[in-house]
Amino acid sequence: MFAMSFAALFIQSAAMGAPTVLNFEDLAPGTTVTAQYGPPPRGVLFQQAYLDTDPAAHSPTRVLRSANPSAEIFTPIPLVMTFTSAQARVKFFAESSGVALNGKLIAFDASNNVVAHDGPKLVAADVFTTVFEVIDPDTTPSITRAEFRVENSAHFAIDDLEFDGEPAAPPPPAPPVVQITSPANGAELDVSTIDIAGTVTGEGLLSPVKLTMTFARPPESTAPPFTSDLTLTGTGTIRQFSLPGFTGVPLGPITVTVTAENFAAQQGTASITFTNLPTAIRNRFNAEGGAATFGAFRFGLFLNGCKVAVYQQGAISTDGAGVTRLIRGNILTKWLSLRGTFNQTGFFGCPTGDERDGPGGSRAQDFQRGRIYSHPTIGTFSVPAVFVDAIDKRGGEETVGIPIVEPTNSTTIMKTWLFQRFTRPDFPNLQPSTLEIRDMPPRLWIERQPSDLPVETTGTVYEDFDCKGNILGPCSVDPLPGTPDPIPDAGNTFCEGSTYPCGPPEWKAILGNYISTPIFGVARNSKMAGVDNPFTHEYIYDIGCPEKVDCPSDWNVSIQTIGPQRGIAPFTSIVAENTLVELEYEEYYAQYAHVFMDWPQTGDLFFAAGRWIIDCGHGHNGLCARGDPYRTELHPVFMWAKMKAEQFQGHLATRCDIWVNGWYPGDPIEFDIFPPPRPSPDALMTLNKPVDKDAAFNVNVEFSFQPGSASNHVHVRFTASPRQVQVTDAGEMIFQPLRGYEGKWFLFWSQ
Amino acid sequence: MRARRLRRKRVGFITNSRWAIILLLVALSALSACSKKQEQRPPADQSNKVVEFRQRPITDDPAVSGKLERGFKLTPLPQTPPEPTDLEREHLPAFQFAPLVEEQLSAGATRKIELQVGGAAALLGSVRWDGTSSPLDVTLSLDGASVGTASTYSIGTHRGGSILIARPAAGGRVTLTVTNTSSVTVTVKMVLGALTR
Repeated sequence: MFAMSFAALFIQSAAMGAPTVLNFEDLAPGTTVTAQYGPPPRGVLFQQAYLDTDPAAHSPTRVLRSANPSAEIFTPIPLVMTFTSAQARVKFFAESSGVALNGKLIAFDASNNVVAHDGPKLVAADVFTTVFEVIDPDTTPSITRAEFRVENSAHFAIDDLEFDGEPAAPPPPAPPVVQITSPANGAELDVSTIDIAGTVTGEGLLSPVKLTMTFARPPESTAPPFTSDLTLTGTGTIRQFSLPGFTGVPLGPITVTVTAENFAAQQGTASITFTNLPTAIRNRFNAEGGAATFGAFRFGLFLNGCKVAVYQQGAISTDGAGVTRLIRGNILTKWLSLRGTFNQTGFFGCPTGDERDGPGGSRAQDFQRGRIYSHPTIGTFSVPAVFVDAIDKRGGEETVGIPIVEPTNSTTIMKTWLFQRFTRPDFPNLQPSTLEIRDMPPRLWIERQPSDLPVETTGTVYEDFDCKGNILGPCSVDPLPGTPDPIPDAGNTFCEGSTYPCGPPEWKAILGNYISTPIFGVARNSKMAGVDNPFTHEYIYDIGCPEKVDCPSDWNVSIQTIGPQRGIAPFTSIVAENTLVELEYEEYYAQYAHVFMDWPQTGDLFFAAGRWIIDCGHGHNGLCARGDPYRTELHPVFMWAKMKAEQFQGHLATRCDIWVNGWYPGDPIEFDIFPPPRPSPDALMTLNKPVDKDAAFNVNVEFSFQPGSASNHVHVRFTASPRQVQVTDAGEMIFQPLRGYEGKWFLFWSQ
Repeated sequence: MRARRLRRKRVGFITNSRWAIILLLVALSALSACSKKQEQRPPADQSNKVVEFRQRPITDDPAVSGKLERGFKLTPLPQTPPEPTDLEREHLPAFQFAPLVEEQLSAGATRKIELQVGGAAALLGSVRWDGTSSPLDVTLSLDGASVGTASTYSIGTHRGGSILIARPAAGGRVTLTVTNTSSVTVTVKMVLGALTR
């Protein structure tokens, strides 16, 4: 609002002249009209009126609207005309946009007294046929302002404005002079709030002045520069403007420009530039080499928990405690490319650590929403936080690997909400690992060929965790469990405090002779025994054993367990004074299965079930002690399923060789077969297996794809009629024929 | 590849010509498995597929059919020595053994083996036979007096055995005796040992 006082100054000196008529044809449509008609000989000012075309214009094509038709204004506003000299009469043709409404024109004098009014009366809709006119009843013109209102409306227009009275005031002698006193030009600040203030000097000044603030914005930003109208305060020729407590001061160089105008449309402008950066960022910038290292400032970001200054060749963040982090190179490029729902830069969040070495020559850096890995040949990819959490808690990136693609999901009905693959550069022979969240309720699956075992294996281990209904996490991933306490005091508990044959049998069942105790792990070695006790074995292999009582009989597979073992309650560990668990059985009874399905190999994944025993034949207690630990074994095994990966019909498959034998007492044995890591979020499973009538004899085998609604493995269950083979006083379980299962199963993914 | 080949050699126990024939049949069966008729089951659900194929019947396996190898001694391929570490770990304790006997015993015949033991010892006797599943008469005696307990078993249709353990407080002459009480000639393997306590 420009002050009224200056108009009065000029009214006195002006002489009466001919009527002034404005048909608004001289300004371009779309112009915001303020002081364009202020200079003599016209002498009228408007407040943010809008010049537009209208086919119904009273003459010829253009009109003056109360506001831009596209502006959403929810309160009625007037069209205000302020005259630079006193007028005796004001007239125009009015239109109401869209609907006829009552309008009223009121004329005021310099003291804000009503001089005259016209209306209220109905203003025709969309045509300029309704005439409004006010006439000063006094002989001396006194109208300095006129306001036209249409009831409850912000959108209306006028045309052919006509007024007559005193001649328009002469223009001020000079344009306004603007000075910005705060902040200081060139200042380096670390602020979130600033006060902007200054002065405008000159005659005939219009209020408000326009403030424009420009600063670098993220590339996706299309917002115009910040602008604000600042009211001039004070009187006379030196007046003040201020914007106190401006919050959310951007980062980087900021230019503030203030433009003032007088009633003759003369403008004056001043600009200052200051730089706003957290001190911690400024110090780190300088310490790291400044612009020579980082290049020019690009833009700043305010993220949840940090501020980030992004330069051409790096970014520096700082948290509230002054800790700074650098983001550089390919990781910075990836970080900038990760956009949120609204395409916002910085979606991946604040860095929570510095860039560091990753596996196989990669580099890695943590952020609030996950981790970014960069490898010179594999590429740079992000990992969402839910997967990072799983990786870190289940063995680390050394065991899962680094990403080879960005996370994705299924495009079909496979209920794969989040899916990503990883490779281990240090283990090029291993298949990529897969992490995925599947199914409803969602579960997180980690699928990998283990690289953290003492031997290489091509079998695949799956782990899964509840996501508590969150299809994109977080999920409840348990840390790797510690090693459970071994069976205590096994020699006294199971071997009578002695050693076979001076008391206990050679093998003492822990849970019972006819309880199928399961084990899952990897074969550390697999071979024929060196010597076996001739009193407790049926067949011997004559390998040149000189005494003929020192020949081997058993095949031994040493198992390194993987994960918690089940079916061993009330004990918590499957070992006693050993770390590996041997599967032992007379090789002769497995000979045919070994030939048909291949001998167990070091590195095979093993699920096995058998009689869980303490080996009392090598203990260290009693007179017959031999100084060996009391070890646990499955002796004999009732079955095993050995698994590894191999090509099958053009697919990488998990081959599972299943052997159930004549020692099996018939209680249920259940286990899972997992295919290799899932290669894509839309992959489906195929199982190839022998027909039961060829593979099974007097045992029942059932299988199902699990989980039912988003399957990723086959669950197998064996049962048989109860049959308890004889156990001798020495602990030997006597084999019986007429029961068994031998079959090769192949499980693979296909699209 | 080399390591895999070596491992295979180490575990390649083929006992005799019968096994060699079985191995050949199994190999041929495995090679032809893929070309055999494959049966496609209806999928368990809409997304997964099951394909079933034929293989050689499990009853070809003597351990399943009960047609077990005769005798007690199997001959492995010569290139399969036991692991030295196993020899060390699996060493038999300081047993004193009588000479091992493996021979045919006609119906009604008796066979004895003896061992002189110097003091208190754990005595172990094992008699295993091939030819009948019926129990034979087996005794363990010390200076003519029967000692110990026996566990007698049978396997399938033509094998059996008896395992005896005794823990006398003094030494003496230990005798392990078996009498073929069946009506057929059998092959017996007799092992007698003592571990001084």
